[in-house]
Amino acid sequence: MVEAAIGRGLPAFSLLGVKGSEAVQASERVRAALAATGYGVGQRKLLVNLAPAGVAKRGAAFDLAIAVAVLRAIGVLPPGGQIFLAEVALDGMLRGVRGVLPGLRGVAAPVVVASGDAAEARLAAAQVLGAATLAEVVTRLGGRLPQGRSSAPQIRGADTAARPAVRADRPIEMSRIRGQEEARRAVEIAAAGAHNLLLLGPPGSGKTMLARSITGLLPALDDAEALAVAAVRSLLGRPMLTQDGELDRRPPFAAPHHSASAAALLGGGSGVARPGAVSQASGGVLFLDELLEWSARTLDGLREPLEEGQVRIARTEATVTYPARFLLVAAGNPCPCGPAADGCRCGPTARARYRSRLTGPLADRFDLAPQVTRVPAPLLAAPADAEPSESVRRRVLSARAAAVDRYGRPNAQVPAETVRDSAAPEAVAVLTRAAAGGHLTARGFDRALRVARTCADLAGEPQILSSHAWEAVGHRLRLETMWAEAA
Amino acid sequence: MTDAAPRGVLHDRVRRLLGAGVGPRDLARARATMGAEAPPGDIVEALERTTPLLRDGPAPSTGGLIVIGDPSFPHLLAEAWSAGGPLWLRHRGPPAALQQQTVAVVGSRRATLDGIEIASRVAAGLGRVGVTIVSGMARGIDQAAHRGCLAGGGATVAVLGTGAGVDYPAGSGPLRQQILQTGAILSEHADDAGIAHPSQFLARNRIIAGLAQVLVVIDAGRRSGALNSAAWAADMGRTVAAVPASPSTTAAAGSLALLRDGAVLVRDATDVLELLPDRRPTPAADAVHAPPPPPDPLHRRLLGLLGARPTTISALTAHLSCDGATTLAAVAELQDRGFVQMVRDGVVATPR
Repeated sequence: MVEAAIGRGLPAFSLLGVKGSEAVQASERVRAALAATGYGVGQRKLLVNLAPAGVAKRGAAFDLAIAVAVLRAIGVLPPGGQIFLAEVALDGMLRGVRGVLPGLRGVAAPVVVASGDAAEARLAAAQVLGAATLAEVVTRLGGRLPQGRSSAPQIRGADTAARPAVRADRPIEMSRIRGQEEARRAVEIAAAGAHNLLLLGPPGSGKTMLARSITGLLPALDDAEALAVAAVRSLLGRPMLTQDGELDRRPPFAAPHHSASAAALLGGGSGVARPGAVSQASGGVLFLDELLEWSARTLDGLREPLEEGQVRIARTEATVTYPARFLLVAAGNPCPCGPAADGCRCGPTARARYRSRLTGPLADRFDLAPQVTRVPAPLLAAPADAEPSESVRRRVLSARAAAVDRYGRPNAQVPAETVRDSAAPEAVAVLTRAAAGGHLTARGFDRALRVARTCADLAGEPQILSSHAWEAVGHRLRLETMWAEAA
Repeated sequence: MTDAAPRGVLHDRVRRLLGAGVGPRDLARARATMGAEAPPGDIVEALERTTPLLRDGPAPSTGGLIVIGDPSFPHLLAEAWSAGGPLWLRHRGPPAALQQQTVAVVGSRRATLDGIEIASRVAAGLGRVGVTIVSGMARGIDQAAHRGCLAGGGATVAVLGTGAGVDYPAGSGPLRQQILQTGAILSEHADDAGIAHPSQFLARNRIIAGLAQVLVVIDAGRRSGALNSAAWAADMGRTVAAVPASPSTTAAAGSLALLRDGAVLVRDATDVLELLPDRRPTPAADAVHAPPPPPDPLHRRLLGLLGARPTTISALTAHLSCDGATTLAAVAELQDRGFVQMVRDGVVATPR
């Protein structure tokens, strides 16, 4: 809440309830904007208080509220219960601020924002007024401008334009991916059951293409997920609406660079805790390329989002919670040599050391680790006639729907004992046999069971049958082979 | 312990020298000074002259010691003396293993999967008919040969480049234990001797070559220890054989070079047996105990596509004209039944 009072004494413009240099900057900005609009307040003593004093207020978002409070105090504007969220420029123009959407969630009162933020504000509040200048706000709220002033902006600039729309970043079309039958199937299963996926293969084998094809298989975001994604983008100052001003419902794809700090990946940073890549990926895919290059400490922090679906960032004044529910996809080389074209030539100690670096904090997070191979030249030149994304997506969507119907969430998040109930005895026998034969560990059994459930869903089968179980064992064997130390 | 076994005249003197700390380097130096032709007795004398702290009485040692001149010192190895063979060997394991007909199998530490499979198969075939396989316990071909021979029911001898008490290569403990049940672990070095100098391995190669009538090289690189072993064998008048490989296999460039220089080309255990004197090649050596083929036609077709080199799931799927899911399920079942093995680069048929 912002309140203003005019008092006796030497001319001053004091801003209370805001710390340090921010106070001086805000008061200077507002004073200049008021002057540009025709209201010189330099000769008066003004006191403006941002209450409550104990809560931290940062950034320029309160500028407009301060200016309106002053205008009310000097009688230019009538009192009212609107909410004001915009920065003012020295010439009286309004500027957009970050975090409009999350800031206005659940607000009933009318809202006044910079015109560039109007579309975003309308996602959260019912009554929104977008204005380009302080003068326009005055006019629209029933105040009178000084003679000779108009409410039109003096400079037409980028500030009055709407925020840029989200780029149309299309996922990779699966029919363009040649060969890679094992990896394609793993991608399909990962998308259908939310199973985390590890792509190991030599450079240039198409790991990134595979990762980027996954968002093309996922269902569109529902209202809650889409708003969450938009809120995160708002806080980061990124575009969040489509060309038509609608919410972006495409599942996001975040691919932070391996040199990213823990704060960039998970969220944080000094001052206001900004959402990290895990939150930008919420509802979609988080892709960690060059897995080996990531610092183990940074990756350790993924534990919370992977287990809870959110990140909590604690600061002295408050703890912020950001959404972070994503499908984890990682990629890397399976061994130090690449592997080389004529087969892996690494010595076993080098391989063992590499593997233990690779496993680290994410060791048990992956359900699938298909072999991604170099595509032989003749196949590269062949026409792209593999199954297209649209067709795979149909299966994935119906599989997801079946899982939500049955458990309320994707198969990867369901406890193994629960999944077991829907398995035919023959399927359980297959898994038990594989475990007895030493091909599956106890953990492998549980993981394979969940993957088998997804295979059954993809086939439209209510029960898990032995064919699904065998396939799941195959995927598990592959994963354990990729992870296994040299014999 | 060989205390009860008959000994040659040099045995106790060498035992005392070893107790005083004499090692293979001292032996090499003495032989360099006195010439390769100098008989063992002269060398022992020279060592006694130059070794301080010589105590009376036999020195303690763990494990057996065999010295040239002992009846239990392998005959072929004694013949190799003038070509640089050893004076003594510390050994563990039943001594009988050293008396059998012996073939050496050597090759690269960084062998191809194909080479490892061949080494295993050849060693198994030879072990099955009672031939002892000697090799160096190194990773790659050496260990594949040791394991293959054991799998075939034969005895194998490992000659180490370090002391027998040292765990080198790392993790070879279990294999040693298996070897010791029917075969032997040999070393010129004291039990706790580690790798003081890489030439220890070249020196150990001469013992491997000296123990065998035939030395088989598999997957030798262009400048590898296996070629060094082959050179020793040639100097000792033994037969050098090599398994061929494709010229595109850089891992086997050395093997091909040997073949050009006159080594005998061998493909399997039968070919090797032909090179042993007084040996008739027996079909049993390479018998493939084929289990009944799997009933499912898709499984049979899949098996038919596999070879020693790994085939990827993608390639199998393409050739079988099915989908990735079907292929994975088939491979899982076949692995469960022991027909195939999923490996790093794809799927292989298990060697039989």
